[in-house]
Amino acid sequence: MRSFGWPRSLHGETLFKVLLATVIAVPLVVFVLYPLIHILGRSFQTPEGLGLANYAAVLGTERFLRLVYNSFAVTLTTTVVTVVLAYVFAYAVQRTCLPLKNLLRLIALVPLFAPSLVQAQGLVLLLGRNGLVNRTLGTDFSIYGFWGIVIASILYVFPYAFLIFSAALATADNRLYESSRILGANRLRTFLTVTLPSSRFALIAASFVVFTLVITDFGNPMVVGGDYSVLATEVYNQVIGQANFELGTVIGMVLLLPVALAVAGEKWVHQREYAQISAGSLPLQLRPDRLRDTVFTVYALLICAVILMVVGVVIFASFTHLWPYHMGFSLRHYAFDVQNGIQPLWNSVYIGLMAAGIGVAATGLAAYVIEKFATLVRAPLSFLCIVPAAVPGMVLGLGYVLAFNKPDTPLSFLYGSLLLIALCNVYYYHAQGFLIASTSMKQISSSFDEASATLGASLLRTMGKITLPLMWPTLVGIAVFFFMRSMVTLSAVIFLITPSTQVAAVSVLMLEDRGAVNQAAAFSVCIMAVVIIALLMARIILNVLGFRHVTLIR
Amino acid sequence: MALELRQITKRFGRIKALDDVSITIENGALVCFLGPSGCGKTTLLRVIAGLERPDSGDMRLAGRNLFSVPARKRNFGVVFQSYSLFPNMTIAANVAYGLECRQWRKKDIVQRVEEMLEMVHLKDQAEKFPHQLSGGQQQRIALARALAPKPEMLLLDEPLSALDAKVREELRGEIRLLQQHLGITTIMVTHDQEEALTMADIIVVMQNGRVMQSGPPMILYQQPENRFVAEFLGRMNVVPAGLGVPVPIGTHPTGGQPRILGIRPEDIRLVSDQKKNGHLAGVIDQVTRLGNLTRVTVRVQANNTGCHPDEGWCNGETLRIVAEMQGVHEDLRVGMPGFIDIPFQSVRVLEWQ
Amino acid sequence: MSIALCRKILLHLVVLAVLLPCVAARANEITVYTSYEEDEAAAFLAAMQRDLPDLKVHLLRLSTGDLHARMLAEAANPRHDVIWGWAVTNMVDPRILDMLEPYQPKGIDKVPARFRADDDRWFATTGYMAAFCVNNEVLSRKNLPMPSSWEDLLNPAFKGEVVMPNPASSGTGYLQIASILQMKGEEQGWEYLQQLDNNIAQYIKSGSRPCNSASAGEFAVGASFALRAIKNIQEGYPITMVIPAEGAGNELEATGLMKSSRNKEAAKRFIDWTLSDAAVKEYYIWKEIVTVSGGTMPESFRQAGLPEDIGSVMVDMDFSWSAANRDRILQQWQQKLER
Repeated sequence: MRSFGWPRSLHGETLFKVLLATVIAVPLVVFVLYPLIHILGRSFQTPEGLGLANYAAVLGTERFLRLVYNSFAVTLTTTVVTVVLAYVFAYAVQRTCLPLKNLLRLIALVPLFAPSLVQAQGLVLLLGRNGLVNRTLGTDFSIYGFWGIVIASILYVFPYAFLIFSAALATADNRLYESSRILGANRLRTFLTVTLPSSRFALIAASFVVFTLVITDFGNPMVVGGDYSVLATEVYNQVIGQANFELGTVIGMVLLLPVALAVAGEKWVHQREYAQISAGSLPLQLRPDRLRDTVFTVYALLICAVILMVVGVVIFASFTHLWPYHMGFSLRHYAFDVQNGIQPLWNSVYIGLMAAGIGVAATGLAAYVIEKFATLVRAPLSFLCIVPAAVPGMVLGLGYVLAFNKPDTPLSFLYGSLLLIALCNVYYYHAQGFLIASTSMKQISSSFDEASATLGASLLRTMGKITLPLMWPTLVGIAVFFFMRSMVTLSAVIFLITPSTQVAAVSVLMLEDRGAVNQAAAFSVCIMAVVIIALLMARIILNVLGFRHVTLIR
Repeated sequence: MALELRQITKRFGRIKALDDVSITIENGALVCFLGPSGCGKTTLLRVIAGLERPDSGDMRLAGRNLFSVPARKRNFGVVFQSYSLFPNMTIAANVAYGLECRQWRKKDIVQRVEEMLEMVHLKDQAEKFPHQLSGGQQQRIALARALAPKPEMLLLDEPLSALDAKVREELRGEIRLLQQHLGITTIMVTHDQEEALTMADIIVVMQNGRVMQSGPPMILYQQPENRFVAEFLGRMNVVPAGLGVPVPIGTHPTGGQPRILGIRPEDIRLVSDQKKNGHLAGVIDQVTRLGNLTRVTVRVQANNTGCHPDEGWCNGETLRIVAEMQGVHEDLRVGMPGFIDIPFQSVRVLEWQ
Repeated sequence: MSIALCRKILLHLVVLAVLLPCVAARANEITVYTSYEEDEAAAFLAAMQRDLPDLKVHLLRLSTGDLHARMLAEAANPRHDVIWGWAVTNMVDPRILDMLEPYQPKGIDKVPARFRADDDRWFATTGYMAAFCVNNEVLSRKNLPMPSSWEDLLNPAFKGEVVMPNPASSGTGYLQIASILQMKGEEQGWEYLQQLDNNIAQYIKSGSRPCNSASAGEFAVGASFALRAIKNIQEGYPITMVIPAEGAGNELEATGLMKSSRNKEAAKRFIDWTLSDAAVKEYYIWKEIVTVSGGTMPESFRQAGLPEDIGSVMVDMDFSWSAANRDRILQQWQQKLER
């Protein structure tokens, strides 16, 4: 953490550091700030020159107010329900003696393996007007609209909240629980006075994360929303449907605001979170309790059943001859008649691999420079690294179109390439990747660097011999993270696809959009298969090399 | 070959970690930087190692300016408090690391690693990984790794603080022997006065980023210049001048009126009746028997002194004076009157610090 | 330098090496934007590949309105060489016309003059017409009558059972609304649309999805276009195609060459092909409206309910009116009916 540089004399090492800092700063400016500036500029651009006309045209309308209301209604409802459900689930997994813990945990994370709209797909197949439930029970209710979006969104963000709670509830000081028990507190009281307060930061953090994900998601509202429009779908419609970049950017800016606030709030909370586990803490001892364990087992099984049912019905539908009329087995939906057939899947794999490589290099290096060198630019640099967390994917994608589709600019050659899509994914998920890398970097004591330096090693040797070997399991984890997200993300890349750069998640959306439900399901299944295979491969490699503890699913 | 530091100053934000530090470290000596945590001793070591850049000052090794030489080019061996053995390398690889950095030939490296491991009696552990070794063993390896490239100087940052008492004592002797055997100039940072007193040729006592006094251990113990050094090294009764305690004439370091006096507990004699004027009268407050040593605290009413408001003593206040005597002294009881006899040659005049 | 670092640098070099060729434009490659349905376009392209095996076509398929938006957005730096099979109504937008280069492909004489631009900027070879997809199963389950006209859809029994495309993004959606306004006159037309709105469950962005939704049984009636209904009947869905008795609105699909094309020779070869006999043969297999003679309607179209002389059920659309009033009508629709 401390400097071992000597800026007074400009020798190779200082130059090397300046170079490294530039290498991470320039792309962040080009691929994050530059597109955002374009969006901002475009939102003020009117036929009569710069002005607020676009804002006036959007913000004042009754329709806009309705969209804001819809967005917040859906998002807040989802947030509250998800946080409660996921907290109880995480509690069940971490704090009770549940059978099959690892399996239940894995099932809870399944939604991360598929594009967000797979939840909506499954919901329609299950609960649509002609879905399994209505058909079997002879009822006639409709899932389309508010509740459809809310349920699909809950399923979509559940694993994100669960991961946060799971981490928070995994560690606890047994002494607190023992004192509480000795003082005669009952279980509820212990929960209210010990467990809940110690996880309040996780509760806030999860709320912000869920809020951000839901308010900017448009996959689920598009499929199951019917005519219930939200801000995210409106950006999509304004830009893709109506050629209305100006209004699209205005709504994009409006969307940026609550997300930026949520992210800032989360960071603020995070800074106030000090280690609650001191060196003297004792790990929590779980004692079996038949009643409690039974109740939580039933609950966890229910949640898992719902998650599996929604994903399962999509898989099932992809293999039926003609859902819902001829349920016989058929592989015909896997002969995709979308443009370029299955090619988008391979594009996605390729983009995922590129994003994994670039993402690991970019976030790893950024974390390295920020954690290891005390330079003047450290604070602004680390701010830049987490800015993307506050930018909704579609806003970033829109910025990319505006910024890079200009013939006279030096980077216009990127437009229409898979590389740009990979870059978009890298910088959209930059903050998360960076945080994983820098947390792990912090755990590597700075005295290793210092020991290496005093033994006569150059920075490059230290990096290659010490830092990288210690970091690489984490780097594999980050690579998997970028690969997974690139495979399933929709919102950031929707504006960037071109004929030769169609990606899998967008193919699902297009198929779903045109109503080819079975084929859309089949395509989703292919994506899930690729993600699961990649995860398994990474897991096997790490296990063989003896790194069982590395988290792969984030 | 002496290491000379002149007027080194280093700030961390508003905190002055090093304040105008000037010391000279002679060739072949074992020097301890001693002081409470936060006194700047580790920062000073890091400045010498090249891990921290001072804001101002001058630093020379045998006349060569060290100021802008980066850590990796200084050729100093450093042992860190946490050992910092590279967890991804075997013991042998750890020891070889510095040699590889210096591009030694393979054959020489193998030979030197063997030699170093033999020196720390851990030759059979060469292919193990650091986490498979005990704390003491890890510390020895760290020492071997630091010494392998034949450094010009050895810097030890609280090398023994993480070990348990028995291992610590063992290693103290070993390090000292090794240092004398190799004749390598060594700087060791410690907060443990016993460690400093038993190992060092020279002790540098620091507080608030400044050097309070430096010199051989016995000189520091016997002739502390100021209250801080006096109290940090061993026990010291500190009393205001003018209490009736006899003052050795001409011993005041800066001349003028002495204001505080220090007396080691072992120099004080406790007598049962007041024979001389020089005896202070008091009441025994506490008696602690530590085997064959008896420590007695006597409460003395300081009624015949003038007022020293800036020193916090005033007429009528109570002083506690500790005496240590060999033997069991079963006759001493709390509440008994006690008369204190202070031989004037054992009174030190201290600077107010 | 460590091996791991070397490996990483090498990896990036490989990535770059693979990428660079993708970035550079190649001589026999063109990019084509189309609003042909995915399956149609795939079939046409397969046929084209047989005739012009050396030509590589990158195809982007988007809804009519979506494609319009995209082309305007990319106007400063168009990515495509050819617009293929795109609604005439949108093609005649002056901003789009400006991007097109007049071109007389081989065999242009086969296209009747009324189906091409006076200045040769575009010509239309195919078209589509509105039709309802009605789910028989839902109809019998909910005891609903088979509708035969737009008027029938006002029946309160159909409340929440009708889905229709959103005219702002879907070409099909716009032609349906334009045909209603043209048949009934604007005043009565809007009044009808307002009433119909009570029964509409959803306005859907795509023109084919209403039919697919009805086919899946999610809704009873999907206002869509004829070919989608025919294809879904072939697929085995329990639906009936209904051509509205008032007359079916229709739209022509036009093709044009981009001025900005960096590979005009290849682009012209492609456009020439779209008028070749092989192409026309494909049109007759896939399209309900073909402006070029040289084929007959497949038997399956007739079995699905398309009359021999489709001219008899089509509304005589005034495309220039549709085009000239598009912005205004969409704005009005958004104000009155968009949800």
